[in-house]
Amino acid sequence: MTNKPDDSAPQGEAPAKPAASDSLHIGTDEWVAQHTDRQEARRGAVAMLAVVRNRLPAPVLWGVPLILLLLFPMMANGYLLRVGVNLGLFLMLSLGLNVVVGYAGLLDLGYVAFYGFGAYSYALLSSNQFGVHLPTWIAVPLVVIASAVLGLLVSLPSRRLLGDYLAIVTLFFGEVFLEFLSAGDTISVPWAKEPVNVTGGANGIVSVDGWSLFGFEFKTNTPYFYLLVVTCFALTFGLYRISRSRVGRAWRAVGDDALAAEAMAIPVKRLKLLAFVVGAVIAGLTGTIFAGVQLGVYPTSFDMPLLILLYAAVILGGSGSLAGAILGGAVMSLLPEVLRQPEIGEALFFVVLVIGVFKVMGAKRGAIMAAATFVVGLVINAILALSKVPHLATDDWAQSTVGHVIGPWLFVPADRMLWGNIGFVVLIVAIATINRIPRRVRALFIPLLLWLAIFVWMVRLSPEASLTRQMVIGGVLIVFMIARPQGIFGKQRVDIV
Amino acid sequence: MSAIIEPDSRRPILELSQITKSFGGLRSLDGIDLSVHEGEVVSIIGPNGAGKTTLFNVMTGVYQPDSGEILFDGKSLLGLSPNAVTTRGVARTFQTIRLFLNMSVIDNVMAAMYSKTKAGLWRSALGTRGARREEQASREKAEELLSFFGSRLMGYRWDQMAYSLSYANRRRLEIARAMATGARVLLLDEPAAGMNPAETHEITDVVGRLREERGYTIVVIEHDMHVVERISDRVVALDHGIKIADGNFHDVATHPEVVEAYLGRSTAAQQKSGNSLPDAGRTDEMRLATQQSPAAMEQSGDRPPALLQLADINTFYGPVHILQDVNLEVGASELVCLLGGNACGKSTTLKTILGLVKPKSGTIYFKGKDITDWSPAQRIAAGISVVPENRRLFAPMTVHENLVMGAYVYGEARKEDLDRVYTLFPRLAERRKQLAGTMSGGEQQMVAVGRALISHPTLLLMDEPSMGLSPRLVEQSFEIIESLHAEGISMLMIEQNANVALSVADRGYVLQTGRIVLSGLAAQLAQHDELRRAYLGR
Repeated sequence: MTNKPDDSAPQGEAPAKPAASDSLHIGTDEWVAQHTDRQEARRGAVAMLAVVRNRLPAPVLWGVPLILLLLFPMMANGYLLRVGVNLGLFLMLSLGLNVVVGYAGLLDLGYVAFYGFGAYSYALLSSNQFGVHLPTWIAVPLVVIASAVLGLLVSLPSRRLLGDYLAIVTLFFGEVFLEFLSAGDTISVPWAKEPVNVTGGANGIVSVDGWSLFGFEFKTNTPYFYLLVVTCFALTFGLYRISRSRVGRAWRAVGDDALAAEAMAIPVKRLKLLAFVVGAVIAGLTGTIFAGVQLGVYPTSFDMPLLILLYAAVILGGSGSLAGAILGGAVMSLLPEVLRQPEIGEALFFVVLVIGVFKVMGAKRGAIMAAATFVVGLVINAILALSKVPHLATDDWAQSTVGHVIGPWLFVPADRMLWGNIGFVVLIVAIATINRIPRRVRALFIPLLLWLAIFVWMVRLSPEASLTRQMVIGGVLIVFMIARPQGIFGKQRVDIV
Repeated sequence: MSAIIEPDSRRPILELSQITKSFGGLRSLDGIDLSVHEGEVVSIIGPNGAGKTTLFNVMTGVYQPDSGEILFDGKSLLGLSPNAVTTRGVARTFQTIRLFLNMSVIDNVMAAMYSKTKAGLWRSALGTRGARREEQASREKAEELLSFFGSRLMGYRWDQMAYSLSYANRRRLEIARAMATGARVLLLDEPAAGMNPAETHEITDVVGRLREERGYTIVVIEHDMHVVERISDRVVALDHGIKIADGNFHDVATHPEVVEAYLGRSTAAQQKSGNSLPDAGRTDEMRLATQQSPAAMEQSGDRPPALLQLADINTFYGPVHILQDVNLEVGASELVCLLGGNACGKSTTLKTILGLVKPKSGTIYFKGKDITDWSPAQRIAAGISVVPENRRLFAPMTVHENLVMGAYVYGEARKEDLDRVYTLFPRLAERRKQLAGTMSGGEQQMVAVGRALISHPTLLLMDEPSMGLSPRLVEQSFEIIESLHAEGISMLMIEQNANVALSVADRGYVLQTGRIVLSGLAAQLAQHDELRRAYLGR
């Protein structure tokens, strides 16, 4: 009897129902043995994505994207190519941050400073700032080594690298670095009478040399794009191997339980330093490419929003997962770009709303809610029309397909600003109080809430793309936090029940 | 009694002399001498708070002793960090299992080979032949180590995450991981804690085989005296940081000071008479009503009306269906125990009753009222209280503050309630100013029980009240449970120690994979064949 769980070792297609009902097998661990299968057996887009990723043979998984990427510059216009280059830079950064945060579990809030350090160091070594023009093949390795040394210097004082302290030290470092960049145009040195201009201050350093390797000069974005394809693939491949190697395992062990790792003969402090330095090196290297692409470096490129986006990418993708860092990086890099057009923002809003409603309520209740919301809209239309609030015709306000489709249904007042603001406040109050309403009555209010959300979005928020961009990204993150806290490809951290 | 293997022919592999360690004026270890010879199995016993785990921590470099010397293979271990100590050859397991839960089973083992392997960042990234060969060798070594545990760990896929392992298998994996460090001395901290008797039996064999087949030298901290008896060449007893006895099992187990400090009278009496478990006798007349559905063995009728009732409870964690149509009752003044293998849903049942987990369907009645939608605070105010698994004390607060927190729902702790707890646990009265986090496991357990009693519950939920307690304290805690029972407090208790649980309980339920498969009067359950095999170890 005690051997039972071993005989019934999970076979993948095993149904969730335990075979226990036939006879008693008291004391066996079947439930536990089937744990993973039950986790895998569930459905949903994310699970399918993971299955696709696991099933595809390696040549397809790697080869197809590679070919598409190689053809990309021939098909893309200048704008798209620039987006591609930014994507490549962002991916390298998120891969590097994934080592620090995802593998070793270190909260490094100064990560972007290493990116900036790489960029500025390269700029100083190859620009007119001091008239130094080192060849790329010397400048880049020098910068990478300097980044490693800087990473070591920053992490050494916080010797034990305990979570909160490391976060504070690195945050401080990041801010000091930014301060240094913007004030570094007037540095007094003992040997010169005039203050020396090192960083160019708020104006940064312009006229940085582009990259030039083996006699080939990187003059357009196309060679940079290819360079980034190569570095991203090499980095992914190397990190993939490392993650499955001795060092990668040790990193994950440290991130999981540092004391246990220490007791298992793993030198925890050294490995934390190593992860930190690897992150610094990757960020520094990315910085040199960035400086070359931009042909200039400015302090604003390395401030807080970038750090937040990078963390969002790593967390969204699934901390500690390579595929996650890439996917999360792609989403976080492309989403703000895509959302520049209100049309896409509007469409995305409705997609998220519909998925959200159906996911939370289930198919049947979701459909009822959708229908009820539709009715609510018509009723409100009638009421407001009767009350003679001046309103706009569909063609006067709708900018997008979505707008034209729902135009007749949605009441858009002439004073969008005023009504939008009122709606916004009411919406926030409604969201805050909906949970206090008893469960049974709550269903009645949900269509109203949904209508209000659509109203506020279309009337007030959608026209302001710069604002809605941030809100959509925030919304995506919140949805993920609730629905899939471990990120897209992250492994759910579970404790036994 | 097994003899010490040629004790004098070899130098001790591990030698501690005059080890002293204090924490804030409290001497946890006071002049401990201990020598362990190669191939020996030494057990360390002692009451909770005697300094056993502190001794392990000192031996493995987690703490540095205030004075004294530790020699391993003739070389000092003082001043070394834990990873260096392990690299030298002394590896340990933890009382509260500390696996890398979010890594696969095989990765857990391979990670522990770090210090015995070489491949660095570059060689791994480039995938050099040396790195690949080393990786392959590590994997084979890990598989070989895992197969040491026979079919038990073989049944799982080794790429499964460690968190999906059952409790007993986590203990096994932790031992495999310690073996993988290449150590020659294994320090096992309560390897049988939280295991049912059948699993305890197995772990006993494992310890024996570790020495016989693999030649390890082993130091074990263990409370279960049957385990200690079976595995030990030598037993060392600690009390208040002082070694009070050192010798073969029989001498130590009958040593007056050990009996007084640790074993308690009845356990000692059992040791003497050699009758270790209460013999229930083999009466197989018990018939199950049916084996298809939950077997109701109790006679209907003369039970008091239910104080707590769970009706068709279904609970999910995310997509995972944990409790399946659970029906359970606790009558007024009734003591009910909930048995079942690890991860079968016992703790989830308690969490559901307490309102920490919301059931997807089903109803919970308490004192006749539907409390399914109530918050945990409302339930506690209504008279449900809990002694949680792993105690969950407020570590940075004093004992007294912890107790007072138990009365939070009432605003203030009543003096008579506090007095009652301090009378029940005089140890707590002595230490009311001590920080709860600095107390030993057993003392913390007392605080947890005390904290639950302060709120004056009508129904007390207990999750493994005896886990990690010394035999004497186990005895005491069950005495306390019985006296609470006599006072008329209803109790629902989860307990691995099924023998004792069934001997004090009125009724019992057996959970398996989230379903109740057996229920009945405790005395009847104690004689159920399959149950006896699974939990009672015979």
